[in-house]
Amino acid sequence: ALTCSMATDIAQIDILKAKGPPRSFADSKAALDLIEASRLRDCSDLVLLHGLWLLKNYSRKLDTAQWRLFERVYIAALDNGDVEAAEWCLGKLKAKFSSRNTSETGSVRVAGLENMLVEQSGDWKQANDLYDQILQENHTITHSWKRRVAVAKASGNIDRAVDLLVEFLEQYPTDSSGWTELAELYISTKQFAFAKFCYEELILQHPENFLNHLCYAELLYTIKDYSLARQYFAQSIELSPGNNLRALYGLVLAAKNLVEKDSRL
Amino acid sequence: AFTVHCSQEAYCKVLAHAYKYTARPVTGVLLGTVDEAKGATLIQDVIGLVHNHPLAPVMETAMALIEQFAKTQNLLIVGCYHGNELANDESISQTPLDLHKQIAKRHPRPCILIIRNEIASQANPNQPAILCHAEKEGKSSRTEPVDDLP
Repeated sequence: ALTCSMATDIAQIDILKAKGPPRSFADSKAALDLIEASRLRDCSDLVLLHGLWLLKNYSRKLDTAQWRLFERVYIAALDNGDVEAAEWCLGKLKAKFSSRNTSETGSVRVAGLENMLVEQSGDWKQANDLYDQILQENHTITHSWKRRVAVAKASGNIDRAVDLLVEFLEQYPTDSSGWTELAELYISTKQFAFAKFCYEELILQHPENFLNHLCYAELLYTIKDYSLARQYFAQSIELSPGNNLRALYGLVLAAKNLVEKDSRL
Repeated sequence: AFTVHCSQEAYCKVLAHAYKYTARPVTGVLLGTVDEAKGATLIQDVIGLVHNHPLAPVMETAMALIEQFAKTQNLLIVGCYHGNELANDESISQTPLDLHKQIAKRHPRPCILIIRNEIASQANPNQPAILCHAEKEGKSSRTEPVDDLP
């Protein structure tokens, strides 16, 4: 959810982006901590820039924290298409923990990361089979569940992505990002009734999050339930920290439609 | 037959929108002028709308605001642009189709620009990274970016 603190985080990250290449351990470490704490996704270029620099120059100073950083930088490298950096990070992780793909006693987590490199190459069938393998052995690895959905989506098979995601959510019904993704998948295929169910789950589980109410309201408006949409737009405005322009516009539109409906009677 | 010209500024903005949200579908509206006599449309500017699968309230608000804005700039809404989520997908999906229908109600002969993701991903492409679909039965032709016309 976008909160006041997140708005300040975004401002700070903009300042970071303007600062340029990494120069000090403390600054880069602070930058990475800020990005991790704010959970903003689209800073992968910063994570790659600062993280890679720290790993290459300060690995001893980082000590045990370096392994989590290797994982983060690996994912950021994949996000930015920097296969070389990704392979370097993966190599270090495999050297330390060894991958389940190659060794019976290897790490499942590293195997999951390794499979993401297969995804990067676009070999969807191979990637899917590798995640299947992990899940056959251990049904509880959520990373593999989610990556399998992503592979289905990336290969254009939305129906399969939906089926896999529904199966996942039956086992992990409190996974918000899962419900959000499922709602988006349903909306992209115009299955509004099912998307409605997803947002209802989200609101039940996180009634304080104004974004859930907002998306629900927009969906209700789209299926022409203006009265209920108006209520949820209003609720979203009440819950949000201010400047909820989308909900304000939604409220006006919903009210306008209600008035027009009345005047037609 | 009529031709569609696209200004460099509009072309750059379309791609900038795609580059900012590389893993999302991007949609926006094209503003420009139509020369009925010459049978030419010039896309002068674009307004980026969303980087997801939009729902009705957002699109209705956006279109209302853009119509007003276009009037102040003496421009018309001449079409929409869209970039699909998947790298190899150059099809016209539901979002641009719906938007196109909306625009066609009030503006003549809108076009659809589709972003060619794979070309846009190249460092030095030797062809434009967009495809223009003109009104006649989905016939598509490439647009050549031209510098700002007088």
